[in-house]
Amino acid sequence: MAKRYRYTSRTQTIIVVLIMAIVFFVYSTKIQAQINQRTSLSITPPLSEIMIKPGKSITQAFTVKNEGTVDLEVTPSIVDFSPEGESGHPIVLPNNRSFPFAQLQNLDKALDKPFVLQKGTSEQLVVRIAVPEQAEEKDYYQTLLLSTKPINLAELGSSTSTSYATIGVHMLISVSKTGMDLGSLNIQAFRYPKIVDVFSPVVMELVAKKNGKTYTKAHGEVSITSFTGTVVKLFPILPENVLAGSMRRLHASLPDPEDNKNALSAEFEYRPIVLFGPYTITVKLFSEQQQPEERNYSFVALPISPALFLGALYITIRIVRKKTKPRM
Amino acid sequence: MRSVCVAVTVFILAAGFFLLSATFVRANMNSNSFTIQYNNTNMTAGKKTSGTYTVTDTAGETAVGQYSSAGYLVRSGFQYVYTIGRFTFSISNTIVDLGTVTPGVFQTGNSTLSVSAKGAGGYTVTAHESYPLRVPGTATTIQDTTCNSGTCTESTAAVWTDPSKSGFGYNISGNDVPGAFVDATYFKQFANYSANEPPQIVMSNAATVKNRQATVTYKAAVIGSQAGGTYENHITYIATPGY
Repeated sequence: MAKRYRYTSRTQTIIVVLIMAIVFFVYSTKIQAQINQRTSLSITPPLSEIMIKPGKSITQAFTVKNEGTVDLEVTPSIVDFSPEGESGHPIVLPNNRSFPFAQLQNLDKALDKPFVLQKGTSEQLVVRIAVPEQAEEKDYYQTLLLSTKPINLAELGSSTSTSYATIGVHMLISVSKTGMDLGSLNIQAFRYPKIVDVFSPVVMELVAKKNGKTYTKAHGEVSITSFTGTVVKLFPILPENVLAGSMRRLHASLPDPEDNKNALSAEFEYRPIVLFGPYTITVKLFSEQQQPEERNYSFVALPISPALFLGALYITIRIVRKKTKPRM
Repeated sequence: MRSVCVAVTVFILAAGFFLLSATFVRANMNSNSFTIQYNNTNMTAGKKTSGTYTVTDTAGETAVGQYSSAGYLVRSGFQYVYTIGRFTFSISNTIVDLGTVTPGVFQTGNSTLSVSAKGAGGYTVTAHESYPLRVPGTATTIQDTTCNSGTCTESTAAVWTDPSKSGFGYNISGNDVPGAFVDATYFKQFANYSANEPPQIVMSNAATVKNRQATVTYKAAVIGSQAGGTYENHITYIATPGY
């Protein structure tokens, strides 16, 4: 009887240990999977520019896709963004909401209400913008923000920092009765070297400022003319948006080698084999409904490195000669 | 029989003329007030003009594109990028396990941020924390690091190699990261959302780019008097295309 009891007890112990091992294995595997999980989200189109009269309404659709390894809880919201200083980088301000005229048209979704986006699936969000008649004529720089949170996060039992991915697309909204651009686009700063070495590149920086009520696209060109009157380099300006009352560092437009219809942004950098003499830089900048603002700047290319090289060579020869000169 | 042949020939000629003219009209529609030129295989694309504006648009998907009428105008995508691509943002290792934080020892964890902004005019990724690491439901926190010299903040990086200086911070290395992170010893605080600190840029590029990656290293250290417990916080990364 005692032997049978001992046998049963040992069996029970083995079963309990086995169950505990399975539970621990499943739990640790789940946690490891969560640690290794990847959140990935895509959205299109990446930018919307909307000009609308007071009293009108429009809809704009955005497609969001969960490309990660885990189902997500997605919360859409529309918040302000503002450009950072001279760089113009957009800084999203999740706490600031100054545009009350937008909502989602989807029957099953609303702003600030989470919905589930399963892995591998996509959803279309239709934003409806209805501007009342009495709305003020001004620009609103908004971001459709999709905040995500992985579903079924487990407690790890140790100190953790959990990363949440939030993706957004910007909407430049102009409420305007006439659709006419108000204000002008001006050259805020143009930086360039006044003296360069004959073998050095010429690196320039162009900062534009938009005065007036609405954003605009920058247009124009930066050209470099040699002392013979020949234009040795021409940079078309990439048509980037400059927001009302803000600055933006502009870029040169470079053809995309993979697709000649596209343009890539590039620095204003002139890198010839050799430069020599005085040069004139001409900057022409304008917005869509404005006469170009034109400014000229001058720099000179001097043989600084050849002179230094020849000087160093001369000194070296003098030293060598002095040392090798036979003493009388 | 002959009249049937003539009728068939006339019908074929008429049909051919109709198809040709229809093709021509589709390629170049004109009116006194509106011109559409199709030069792209997208859903809608090309140059659109009216008396007051000229637009080049790059719409490529259903419900995406340009709508113009007397009252509104919508442009989607970028004027200088004809092929609209998806803007994608990924984070590996959603949960960064800092383990058991013991005094005098750094605890670290990593995650990788990836951005594909092909078809968009650059991108920006900002980061902020919900609050400093804290025991949930209590006021017990591991403060944000001030680094070795007590100078680093959410906007200023500094060297943090001394584990007797307690705190929580991050380093980032890879593509398009701020120059302040000189090497792997430089750390910053995350911007504290609960204290209204503005999110800080951790990756950015003004150019159209594809597959840009950066590795974030989270680091925590405590001193002996730090209360025991399981600490946690949330880091939110906001990725947006250019504008």
